Amino acid sequence: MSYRVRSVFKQTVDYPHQGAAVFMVFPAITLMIIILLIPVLVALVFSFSSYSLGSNHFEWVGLDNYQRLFSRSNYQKMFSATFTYVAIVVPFSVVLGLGAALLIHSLRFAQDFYKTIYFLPVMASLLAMAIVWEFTLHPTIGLINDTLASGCDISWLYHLLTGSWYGVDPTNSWYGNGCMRGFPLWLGNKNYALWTVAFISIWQAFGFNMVLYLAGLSSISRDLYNAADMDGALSSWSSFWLVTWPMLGPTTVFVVTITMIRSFQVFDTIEVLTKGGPVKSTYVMMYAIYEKAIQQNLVGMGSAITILFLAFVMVLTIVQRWLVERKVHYS
Amino acid sequence: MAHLKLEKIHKNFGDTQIIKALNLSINDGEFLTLVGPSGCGKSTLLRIIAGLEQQSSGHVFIADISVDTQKPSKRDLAMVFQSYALYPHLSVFDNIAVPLRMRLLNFWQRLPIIRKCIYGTRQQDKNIYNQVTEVAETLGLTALLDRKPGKLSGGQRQRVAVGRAIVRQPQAFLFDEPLSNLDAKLRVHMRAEITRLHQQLKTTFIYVTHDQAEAMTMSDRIAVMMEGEIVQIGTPAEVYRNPCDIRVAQFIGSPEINILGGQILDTDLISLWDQLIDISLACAKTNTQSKDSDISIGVRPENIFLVSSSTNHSKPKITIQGKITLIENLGAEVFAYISINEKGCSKEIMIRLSHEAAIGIHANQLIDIGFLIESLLIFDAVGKRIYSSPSNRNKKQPCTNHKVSRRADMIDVLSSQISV
Repeated sequence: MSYRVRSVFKQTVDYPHQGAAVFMVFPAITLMIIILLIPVLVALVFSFSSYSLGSNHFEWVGLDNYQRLFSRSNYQKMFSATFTYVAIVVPFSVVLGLGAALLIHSLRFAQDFYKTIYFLPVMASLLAMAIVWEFTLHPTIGLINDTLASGCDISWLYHLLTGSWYGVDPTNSWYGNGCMRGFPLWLGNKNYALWTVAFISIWQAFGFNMVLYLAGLSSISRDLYNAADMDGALSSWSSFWLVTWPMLGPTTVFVVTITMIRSFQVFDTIEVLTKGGPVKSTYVMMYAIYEKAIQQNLVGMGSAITILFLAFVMVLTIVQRWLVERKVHYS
Repeated sequence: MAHLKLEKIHKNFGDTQIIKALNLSINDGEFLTLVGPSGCGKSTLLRIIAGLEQQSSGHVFIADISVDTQKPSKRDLAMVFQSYALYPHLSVFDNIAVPLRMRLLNFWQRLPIIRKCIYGTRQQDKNIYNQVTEVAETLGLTALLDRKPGKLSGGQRQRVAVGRAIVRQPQAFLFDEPLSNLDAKLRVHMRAEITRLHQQLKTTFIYVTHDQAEAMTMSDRIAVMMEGEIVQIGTPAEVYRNPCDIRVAQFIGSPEINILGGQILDTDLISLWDQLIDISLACAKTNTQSKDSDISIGVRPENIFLVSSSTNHSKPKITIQGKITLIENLGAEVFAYISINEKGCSKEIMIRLSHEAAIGIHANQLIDIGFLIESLLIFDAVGKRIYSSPSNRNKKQPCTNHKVSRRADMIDVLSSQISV
């Protein structure tokens, strides 16, 4: 058997043993198709049906599932919760990660100590930590509301926090209101729940970003900072903009993408703390997939959300590749 | 343009002393080269001048003003780095413009969009544009202005690094081994270009290199550094002809100087290969040289000639027989390695012959070689120069001169202490 292969030089070359090569890669390609591609294709097929696991009944519903996704208010809440969550978590955890990395990088000693401390939340199981947070945020016995309430009895602190020293009516301020009517339920209040969950995620994610930024920082040549000094960069602020920030470009693109994908995938905190509530305010995509496909056995609907989720992640990845190739790799 | 002065510079890294009580004065508009083997502290010294490294003690003066506490950006110097240190995200134009932008534009004028709303930005931009294009033209970079450094060859990057330095008119230019990353041919070319640049700009250049050829060809003065000290400072010719230390003699000059072992027999008599040489060790009296002590005798390869019946030097000379082991023909000149067996120990020396003088010699040939006594450089057991040939004796003695200048410095310091 012989194949005519077009090489990069636009010449046709005869390889007499091409068949052997196909034989060699066959197992790897088969595995790749079975493990990686077929599940996605199956999900795609299910997303056009109303199939439930275990039933003999399989009915094509066409684009019905997708239509529901974009028209029902439940799913609109799902999109809004997911995107709000991502929009909160990504900027905060990236900026905090960069800030922590810059601070730690400038230390002369105890770098490892701080690295370990900030990396602890990443290493700890989020499930376990979520339980700790649940206690902390508990409306009546939680540490946070206890602390806030204890400030109401200290008059100077009360005046300071309510703004009454400035002539503001204490009952109009957030703190004064809290003192009178009780502080928010955090996870039980639809206005606070998403922000609270996002806060926990930022707390957990920025240590990871810090480690990535530290790796990026240590790869910047000292000569560039010296050159910036000689060229007249008077403050560390100017050498940050002249050297550090542009040289961290590839790291930043990677950090932003990975944080976005991880935030899209948030599930464990939601499952433990809010179960998508209250009033669907924390009903993120992953939780919706779980609820539909696993709890309610609506495999068709779950698959449709899954496909949409994959599409988002795919777009993100393509944008990242494009950015990396075009903008931030300078060679 | 300014005169630079270093006073009693010390630098320690932990317990290791890198630079020891170093004094150096660099004249306005001078091209001074700091040359020495790697690890002798020459780059550290340059970084101390630039302010990138803080000296452990001592003072740096630029134009008679102490800059010890000033940041590098305030010292008004420009530097070309060995790695070029170009900003990879900026185009060639922007790289060259950075020093001007950092100094001519204020914080707000450097911000992306707001800058356009500020009065005077456009005028400054025009000004910067003109200066950058002018520099690009002198360095032949005009066609490359839009490229990123990653897309340039080594030589082009080097030019951009030089362009970034000369776009301003700083007090002095500092070069930290700028040619060591280039290939041999380009290095020779850039060597000439930097020398020409110095003639054009007439500013102080301080140039660090480990390549003695660069030092010899480019500089007004060479400062040879060894183990954190300046061993000798002088014009290239002085340092070559009149080295005051055996390390300087060995470091400067290619091919390397031949060092032969000899002995002092009397104040005006030394022995080499059982031959007695009658010379007066003028400096020897000032040094504590005892009889029978070992000395090193240096002969430059070009000062050794082949002795045939036709050569007849009237001046006193030494001749000896040896066997040619290897001949290297470089076209215009020929290097020959000659092995000499004397008193059972063999020694290989190298001679440098003109093409004509080398006609007819071949390997394994027995041959008589000779050198004039006045061309000898004699060093004592610790490597200090103890004999200066009569032709050099009238001229300034770098060794003694150095001491005089040190003494003068000490008197300066003493008098300043007294006045305090």
